[in-house]
Amino acid sequence: MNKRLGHGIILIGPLIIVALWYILPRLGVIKEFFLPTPIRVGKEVLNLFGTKNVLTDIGYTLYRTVVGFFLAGLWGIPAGLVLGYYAKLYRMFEVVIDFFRSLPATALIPLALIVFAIGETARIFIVLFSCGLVLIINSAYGVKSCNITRLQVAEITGASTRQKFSTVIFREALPEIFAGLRISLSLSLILVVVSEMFIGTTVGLGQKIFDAQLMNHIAEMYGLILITGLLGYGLNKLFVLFERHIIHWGGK
Amino acid sequence: MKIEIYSKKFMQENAEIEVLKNINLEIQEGEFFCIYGPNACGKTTLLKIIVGLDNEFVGESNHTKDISDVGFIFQNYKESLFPWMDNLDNISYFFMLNGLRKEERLKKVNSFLEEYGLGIDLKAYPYQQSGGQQQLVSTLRAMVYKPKLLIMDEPFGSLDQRLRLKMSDIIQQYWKDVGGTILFISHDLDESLLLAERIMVMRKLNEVNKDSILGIFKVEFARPRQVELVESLDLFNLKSKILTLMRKDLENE
Repeated sequence: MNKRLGHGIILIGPLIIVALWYILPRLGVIKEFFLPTPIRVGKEVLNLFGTKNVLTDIGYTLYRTVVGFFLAGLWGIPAGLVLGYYAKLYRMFEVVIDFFRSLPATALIPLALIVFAIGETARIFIVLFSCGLVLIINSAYGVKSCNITRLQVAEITGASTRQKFSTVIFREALPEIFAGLRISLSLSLILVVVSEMFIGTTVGLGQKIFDAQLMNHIAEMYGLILITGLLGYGLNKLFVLFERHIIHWGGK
Repeated sequence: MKIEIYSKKFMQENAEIEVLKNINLEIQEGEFFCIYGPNACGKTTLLKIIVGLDNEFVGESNHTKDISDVGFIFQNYKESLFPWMDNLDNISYFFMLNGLRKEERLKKVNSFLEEYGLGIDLKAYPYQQSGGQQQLVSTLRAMVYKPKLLIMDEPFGSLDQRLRLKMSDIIQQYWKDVGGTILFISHDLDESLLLAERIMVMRKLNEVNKDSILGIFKVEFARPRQVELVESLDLFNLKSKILTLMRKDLENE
């Protein structure tokens, strides 16, 4: 049986969910107002891509997610590498980093609005701040878990500090850095969608979901949620492919 | 090269364990020196002290200042290879650090392999290879730049018998060509006797054994030495002398 199912086995879970989605309102367990049928939602999705121009919203959300993600990497990874290398420096900032990491990023939205005014800067700031912290911790941990034998090989072969970093420590830290990047990418999308609901904008998936809810366009809201989910899923899958390509030695 | 170690201790589960005691050793430049002893008698620790990777001991080692021309083959070869580098980059790591471009490194590595009649897939990554191949790559990484002091910590442990024989020929040839000092660790007595100019027999410390060195022996056979030497009477006599000493030591415990 396993052989006949093959790769198709991964579709069983989604099919069960869609089936339940179809059946539950019919049985009267959930009112159809709260859970429109898959067919209605499917029609809405087509409608969104057709007349409602949802591609613009997807584009904006994607753009904000990716820009925030890159900016976070630009400061989070180097900072983490340095902190990981100098143990004393890490100890000095450990409490600060742990505090800010524990603080829900969304709590900073009102503050960001005051400092950067309503607009893209505030939104991007929230993303690059929160994701940057994740990357600091992962990069620092990656450096600290560096294999000592390989470091000794570099030392004994005459590597300078800079060479030790580029040929060994950075590579050793890469799997941890990529784990951090994967978390950051998801976190970035979450924060962008949330911020689109609260930080003034007229485009973006978060904004459209919020609007649909306000106007009781429930089927459209489901359609937008579905699209947002697929966007996150796609980003994640693409990233995993990229990670496997870069860290080809992983798990071997 | 002079090494004097009065004592080297490790902390293990809150107890101090002494691994090396009273080692007083002078190794001549260009000597092929073997260190033979049971597992956990401190062989690897001694090498790390000699080369300056371990500085927490009571004593003196005058080699530690000049680490620039040392090749070190680690016992845990799997861990010591860089999995993100292919075999070429791993073997030519020294040249890479010295700024040589890929083509130049490839030339150097290929000419070394040719010189000693070895074939290796330079494009493969360590994880794509057998343990023996990985060990060979980690050995070549330290040999390829012909350092003045080559330290080999059980470099043949994972090689099959055929490659073992070949490597013991190669290492003798290499020693003759390069003229550097070789420190060779082994827990195989035949292998040590086949290769060494002098062999130092170590023992594990305990309440009775107060010194790490059981004895140092000269091994005076003509070179090149073939594996048939292991069957000869001269070698047999030397070997039984060493084994008798080891047995006595065991009885004293």
